[in-house]
Amino acid sequence: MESDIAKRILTAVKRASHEREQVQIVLKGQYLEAYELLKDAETAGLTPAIIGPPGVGKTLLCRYYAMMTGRPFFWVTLDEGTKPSHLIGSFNPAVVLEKGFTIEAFEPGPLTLAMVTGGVFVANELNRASEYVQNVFLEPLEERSYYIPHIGRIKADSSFFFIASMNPAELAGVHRMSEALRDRIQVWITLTYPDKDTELEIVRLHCREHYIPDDILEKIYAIVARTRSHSAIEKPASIRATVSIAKLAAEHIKREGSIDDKELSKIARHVLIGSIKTRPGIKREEVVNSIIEDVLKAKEAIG
Amino acid sequence: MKNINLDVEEFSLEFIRKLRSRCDVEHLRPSVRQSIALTKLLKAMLNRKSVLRVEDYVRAALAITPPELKDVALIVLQEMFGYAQYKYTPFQTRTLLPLFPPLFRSRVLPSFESLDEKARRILSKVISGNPTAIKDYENLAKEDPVKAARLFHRLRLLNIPSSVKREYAKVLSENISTLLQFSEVVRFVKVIPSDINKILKNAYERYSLSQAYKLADKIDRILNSNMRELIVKYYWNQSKREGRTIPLEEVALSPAPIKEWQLLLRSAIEYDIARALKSDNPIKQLKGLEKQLKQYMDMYDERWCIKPLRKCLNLVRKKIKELNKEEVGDKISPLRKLFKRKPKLKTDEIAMMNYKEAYRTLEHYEVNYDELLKKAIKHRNKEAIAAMAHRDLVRTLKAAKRLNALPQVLESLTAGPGENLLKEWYRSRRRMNPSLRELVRDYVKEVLIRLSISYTISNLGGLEGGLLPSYTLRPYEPGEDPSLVDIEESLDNILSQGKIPRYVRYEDLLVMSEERGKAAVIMLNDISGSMAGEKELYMSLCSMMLLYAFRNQDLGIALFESNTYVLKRIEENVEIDDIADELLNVDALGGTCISAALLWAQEQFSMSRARNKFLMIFSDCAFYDYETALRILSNLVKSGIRIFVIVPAWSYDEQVVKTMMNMGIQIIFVKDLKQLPYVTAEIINTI
Repeated sequence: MESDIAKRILTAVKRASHEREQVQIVLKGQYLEAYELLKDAETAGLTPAIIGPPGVGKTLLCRYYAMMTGRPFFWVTLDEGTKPSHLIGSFNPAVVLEKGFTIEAFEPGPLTLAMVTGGVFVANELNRASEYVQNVFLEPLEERSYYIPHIGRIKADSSFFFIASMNPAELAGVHRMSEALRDRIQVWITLTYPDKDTELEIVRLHCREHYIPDDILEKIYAIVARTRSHSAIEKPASIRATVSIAKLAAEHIKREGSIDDKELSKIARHVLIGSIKTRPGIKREEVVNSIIEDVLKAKEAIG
Repeated sequence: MKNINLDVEEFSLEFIRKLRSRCDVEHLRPSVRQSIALTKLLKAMLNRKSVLRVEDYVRAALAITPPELKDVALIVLQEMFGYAQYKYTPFQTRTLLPLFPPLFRSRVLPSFESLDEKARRILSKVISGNPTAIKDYENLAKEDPVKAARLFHRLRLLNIPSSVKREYAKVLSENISTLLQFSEVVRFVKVIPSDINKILKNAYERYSLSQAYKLADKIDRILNSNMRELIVKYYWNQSKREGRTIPLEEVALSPAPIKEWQLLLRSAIEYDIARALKSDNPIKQLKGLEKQLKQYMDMYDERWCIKPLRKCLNLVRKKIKELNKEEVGDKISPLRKLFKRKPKLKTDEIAMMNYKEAYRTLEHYEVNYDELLKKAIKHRNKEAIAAMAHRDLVRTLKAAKRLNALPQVLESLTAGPGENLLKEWYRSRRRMNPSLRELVRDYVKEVLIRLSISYTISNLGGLEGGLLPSYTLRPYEPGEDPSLVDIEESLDNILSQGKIPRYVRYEDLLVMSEERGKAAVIMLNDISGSMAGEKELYMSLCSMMLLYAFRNQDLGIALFESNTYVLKRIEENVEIDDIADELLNVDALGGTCISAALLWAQEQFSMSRARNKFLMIFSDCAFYDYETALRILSNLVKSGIRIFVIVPAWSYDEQVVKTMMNMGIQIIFVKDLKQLPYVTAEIINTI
């Protein structure tokens, strides 16, 4: 029975495995440390969790890890609405009514796929899932198997590797991680916004096809970095925001030949307004304007 | 960075043992699993690198530690790698010298704040002896001096040469550039900015005098320095240079025992007088000014504050006199003197009165308590004795002791309306000696319980409140146990739609589920401030009402000021008697910090499986830690918790209340504290 399930599931993911994408990452500083810890954790048979604010590259690092170890990558972002079936899979009721609880009626979910194919599975934002859903992971983590009603127990491939990723507690909902699951996560890797050199290198990597002068990049970084220490901002701008501003600035340079502070502040404003979250009662536009004004000292540039 | 030869197993066991001994939270306490994990991880590292350094041990130990304990883990690692605590000498310069004591009541400062990930990394680098740590620290200090100060607070405990510590202190002091940063930094470490003039200049450009003075006051309270004086001097010199007059209100709220403050005051009052004289009704304007100055004088006790203000007052009065002599003069003083002294009444009359009459009479008439008590006991008039005790508990008890009549007085305490006794208890309990206080408390407790039952019954209609469990039919959700499907209901549903099996979908199958009916309610009561007596009485009554109403629900109650007092946790079974004891014993220290209470509430909600969650807060919202508080409140709102904040209409922090309203929090204003139980009952009824 087990081999039947495995065969069927393997066919289902064949295409996905072939189309594995190439991931580029700046593997230095905290990312190198985290990568090495992932390797050591897997060697030691320990389950890791990566904790960090949104946009610091948690998923990207896991994807890169999967790519470097030549395994398929599966991930699910969990929230209050996630059900166990979104992870394990479920029976199609129409087929069940016709043929009963057979293997044909079962549609596997990403966790089942990862277990059978020996892939890397990332449970994104694990601390947002309800305890009911969190408990689904207990058996795969402890016994490396899962019991699917009416079908039987499936065993995980030896190279199946589970990684949890989550936001720091203050950014998440009020769900606490179940104690049973918490006890099974043994390595807690924390990521934060990278240092200046690493972040600029990441931006350069993502804007390889563009030319951006170093002084402009420095200004972009200074603006984004200010959002991370501003007391009125609850969720600061991530690396994605730095890359977006850099790309837009580069497009402007390509078109116009150069970019001045006025144009740069306009671009930064357009990106930052959507990528930060201010504390309650504080207007986003005002904070963004004051940050840009402070950094670029270009009062007149802001309408 | 040196290689060390440590036994991996021994290190793991020792680290976990130390971490466990320092962990106060039961569910976070590390287990044997973590020791095994650390050993495994270190061995994997050893296989990969063939040699382990201090930084590897630090990294591995931090990696197996859950986020909540990482800060504690760093302290344990500090200890394990031989860093001892040493006595800290603050880095002070001669620019700031102690001059005059703080004028306002000091607030309790947070004793410990956790580090963020960046700072934690730098600290682990310092522990591992990594030379790049100072560079990282410099970057952090440039980016955020407050975070750097928080880290320095920890660094100073390390057993590294003091020259290195001075280097870190220097980096920090060079990067403090605003008064706000300075005031935040000194909360953690006593480091003075290298350029005070830059700070003063920046303050003058950014803040009004009173704002700058408030920040300087925070600094002075911690450093015992003269920052307020420097601020006042700088503002005087700059305003003089610019020909600008600082408003009277700003100056009056920023007093300093220096000539410059008097000059600022003089210039402000002259400006205001000149403006008043130009107005349509100069006398009215000047009288307003006179009233304002009197209020400022009432605010201070110090002679050096009052004297210059009196001079200004005299100046204003002189102007008024010049303008209209008839307006000046104290016409009411003889009458006031007459009414100030309470007339005396014969004690015989009061000793025969009923409670209501006696209580009212004692408010207006001066009586000899010994004499009155003697006569009331003679007449066996319990109501009169109760009225005496409810009017002045300490005085009555003292008289009873002198007359050896303590049992009679204690027996009579419960006569009359309980509210008066409770109010008097909260007002005067601190003045009683402990043994007497214990004795009286039992009687007061009886009254509190009796009163809360009557409030609950009259407002909620009974003592058995709460929500009833109900059953609902809902569509089957993919992934659920198929045995949950209610076959009959599902068949009915499918047949009524006329579907054949091929077209049956998930949502056609129905599941009968029990609505848990449970509600989780948490009440946080602000006990800070000077409204002792009445406020505490009504809060106690509300807490007791909630206890009766939600006896079968998840209920949590806490009181807060600078500290948080947990009366009942959500899953705790408590005796009403014990809660009443606690409510009667709580002593407020002052200061309003709600964050800890909110975090406690958040934790309690996370433990409850109830679907409906409610948070009730009674406070004037003048939170010292409002930034953190608003962040936590916003998280609570986002997670679907309904929040009601009951605010006293006569005094509250407008800005914070407005922000809370914008967040979708329901604000209920009460005009009178007596309304508090009714408002609570209304909220309970909506739940």
